[in-house]
Amino acid sequence: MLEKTTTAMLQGLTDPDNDIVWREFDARYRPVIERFVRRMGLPEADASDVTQDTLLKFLRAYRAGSYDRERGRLSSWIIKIARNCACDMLRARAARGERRGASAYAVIPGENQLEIIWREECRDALLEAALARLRSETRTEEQTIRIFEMLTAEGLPAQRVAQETGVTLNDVYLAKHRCLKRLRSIVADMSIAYELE
Amino acid sequence: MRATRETTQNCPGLDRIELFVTHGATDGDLQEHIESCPSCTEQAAMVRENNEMFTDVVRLNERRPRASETSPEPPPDLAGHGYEIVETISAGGQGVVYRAVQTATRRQVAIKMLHRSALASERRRRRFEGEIEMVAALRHPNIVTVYDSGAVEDGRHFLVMELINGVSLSDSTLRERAGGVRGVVALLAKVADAVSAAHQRGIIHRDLKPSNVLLDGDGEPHVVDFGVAKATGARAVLEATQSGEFIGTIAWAAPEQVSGDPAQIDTRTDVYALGLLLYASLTGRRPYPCDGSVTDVIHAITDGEPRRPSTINPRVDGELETIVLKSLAKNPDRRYQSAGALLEDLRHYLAGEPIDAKRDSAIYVLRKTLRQHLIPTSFSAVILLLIVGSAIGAMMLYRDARLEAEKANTIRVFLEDTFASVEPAAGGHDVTLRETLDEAVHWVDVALSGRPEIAASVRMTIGNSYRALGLYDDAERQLEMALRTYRRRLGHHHPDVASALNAMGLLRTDQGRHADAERLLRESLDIRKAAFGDEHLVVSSSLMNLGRLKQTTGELDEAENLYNQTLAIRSRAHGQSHPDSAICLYRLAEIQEQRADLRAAARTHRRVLDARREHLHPGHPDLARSQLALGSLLLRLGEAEEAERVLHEGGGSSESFGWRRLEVESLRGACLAALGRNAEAETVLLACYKSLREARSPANEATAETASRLADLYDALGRAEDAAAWRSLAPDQGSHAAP
Repeated sequence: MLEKTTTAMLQGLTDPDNDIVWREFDARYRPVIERFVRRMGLPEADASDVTQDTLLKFLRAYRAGSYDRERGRLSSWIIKIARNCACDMLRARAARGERRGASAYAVIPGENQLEIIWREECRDALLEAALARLRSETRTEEQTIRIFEMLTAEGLPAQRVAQETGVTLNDVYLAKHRCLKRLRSIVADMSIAYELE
Repeated sequence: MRATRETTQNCPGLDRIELFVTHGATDGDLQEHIESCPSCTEQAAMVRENNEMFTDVVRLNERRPRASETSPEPPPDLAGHGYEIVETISAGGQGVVYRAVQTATRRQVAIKMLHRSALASERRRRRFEGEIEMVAALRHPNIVTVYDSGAVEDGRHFLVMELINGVSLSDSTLRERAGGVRGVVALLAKVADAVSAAHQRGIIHRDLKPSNVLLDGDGEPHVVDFGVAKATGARAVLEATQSGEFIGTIAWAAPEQVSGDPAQIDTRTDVYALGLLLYASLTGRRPYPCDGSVTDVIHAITDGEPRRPSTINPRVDGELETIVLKSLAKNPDRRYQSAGALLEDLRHYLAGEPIDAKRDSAIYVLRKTLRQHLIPTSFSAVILLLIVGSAIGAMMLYRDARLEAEKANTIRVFLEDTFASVEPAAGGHDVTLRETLDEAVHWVDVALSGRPEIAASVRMTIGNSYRALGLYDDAERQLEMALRTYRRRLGHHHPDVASALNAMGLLRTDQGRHADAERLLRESLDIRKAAFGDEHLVVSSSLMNLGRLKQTTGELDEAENLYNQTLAIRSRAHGQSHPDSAICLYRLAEIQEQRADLRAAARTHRRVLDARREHLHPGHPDLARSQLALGSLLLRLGEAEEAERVLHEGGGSSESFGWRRLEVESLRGACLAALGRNAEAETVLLACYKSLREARSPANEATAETASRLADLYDALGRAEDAAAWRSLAPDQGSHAAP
């Protein structure tokens, strides 16, 4: 599976009938935006609404030609939209009396912080995607993956993994490093496609 | 993976390589193999790179919410208490935190609902209420205010707190967010300020960790959960870890917390936690590996040396590292004694002023004696200079193509690494030369793997330093590794092999293994003679060392012969009065003294003293040594007047030349007493004793000797009481041999 580069996606997005590209863009950025919005301090239900708003606003503005890549990074632009959407949501709630006064604005971190949170979330999303691909690949044996999951997701010490799976400690490390090596190469491929800024 | 690389029978498995990479060399053979086997060197490099990715994956998994963390208990109905629960914010070990609204004011609050198990007993409940009352009185911009507390019908307790919208410190790699190193320090200073304010009201946090520091929208920190750990006591770390699920918690515990003695927990426990927060925020890591079993983690906390932060984040400078490591000292007495003191140093650091950690430690270090191998920082620095010097020298010597390109960089890293390691030692904990050397060994193990000759050369320096400290086993390990490497790479007749043999020979001499020593020194001598010819200065060193050995074993004729050969070579090269020649004469004088030919010995020592006066500056310790040797001989010969004159020459102020000068003065005091100039003798000896006391430990030989001389003096004057008093200050000295 070859990842489409972000540049290629952006080109495809200008075509209103190109649903496939839009779905790909959505798949890549929705999780990032959602986690990002959660990190702004919004509860889960609100975050998913704000994410939806953000993606739609982005697409509309993009097709209207208001994004000029020469003038700013894509991430800054999405961050700005997401931030505005989040503020709108909080303002609306405050107006309905659900929140009081200035706290509605204090929730949102400053611009620099948002940039950093965004980058972290992009990195995490990329790593998640890479892990998903590692798991789905047939080239890595199931047992090897299982051992890797035990070490990472379950946080078990190598000794214990060896006991539970009935292999030697050396085998555990072989599995661990086989997965990591593959993961590194997947991440390297995907970073190019994601064009992480 | 195994099949794809070329391995020999000796190649270790990946498990051992992993151990080597994560914990450094614990076994010389393994390390030597990895250093010299290209396939294993490559494996080790791969493991290192992979493990960075591993850390990322683990961190990602930690951030993902776990199924077990979703609220296990239904949200309580707090309408009767005047609160409306809006939603769950988080769920953790102690309880669940909700976002809620105070019905009367419409104010948003956070409500922490403690698990039923947290306050199981009546006693605990009372304690909780008492503690929370105190916490509620805390008002500080960086402490989450507690408004209210209560209990619901089913017995669960809750706390109503100020609501902070934002993220916790654990939620991100804070380093970038806070704006670099200074940003992190400024942020943690605020946290320390908050903790200090609580301490002043007698409240210890006990459970400071990243998830208990919340950052609001402006990036301001707010410390949460003051008093909760104490109140809910049930979560004593050891207890919590027995279930195996709290490894995340235990990683933030202080040594005294994992030792399981609650009496040891005090404000300095919070200082440690602040140190951990600083460390983690600056480096993105914990100071110890936390990926092993609970026992491993506890062991690391109680015994592991924190990895120096500057090796992970090079922007952490020496001063800051000192502050961090001092806060993380295992022994609470070595830490900052309060959060306020830590805060002061963080502020000093931000203002670019000198930090207190260093000042404290200089005094602390001075109090220690050389006997414990406790060395002032400057000594460590000197040793490190030697080590660095030997590495650079070796790099020049064994230049190869790869090295040439990397050289500048390698040296820079080496310098930064080693010198950074002096700094934290200056403040963090006991500075022992041993630790400095251990650190250097570790550095060689890790950073010089793949450069065997350079590693060997540095090991020589380290081995010799260990030997000087009497740490023979450590010395032997380093020297043997060096010798093996040299032999393997350079053959059996290379001058470097001779140097290693020579060093081993000296070690054996010190150990009293004389036969071994002689064999090694002779082998070294033969190689050197073959390589450089009989007249070379390097050969003279071997002869000298053999002479020392023979002198030790009492074979004085042979020793004399060897010293004379040495003297001949050196005199031809440098002249008779050169210090390197003078040392031979000094040894010859010792032999004369051993043969009880005191007059001849005195004459020879006189020559040495004259030679040294010619070449050395007046403060040189060798000058004082010569004066002492000659002075005490003359005194024994009954020539007290001449002795006094010798000792007085170049005397001047006794303060300026350190303690060896004081030894000279003390002996002069004995001479004056022997001459019946009692008043002068008393003045000199008293002044000497006072200065020696200040400069060195009272247990020191010279100090005891001076006390003993004073006792002798008072005996002679018939002042028995004074004599007894001084005698008691010189426990091991007995009556002094001198008159």
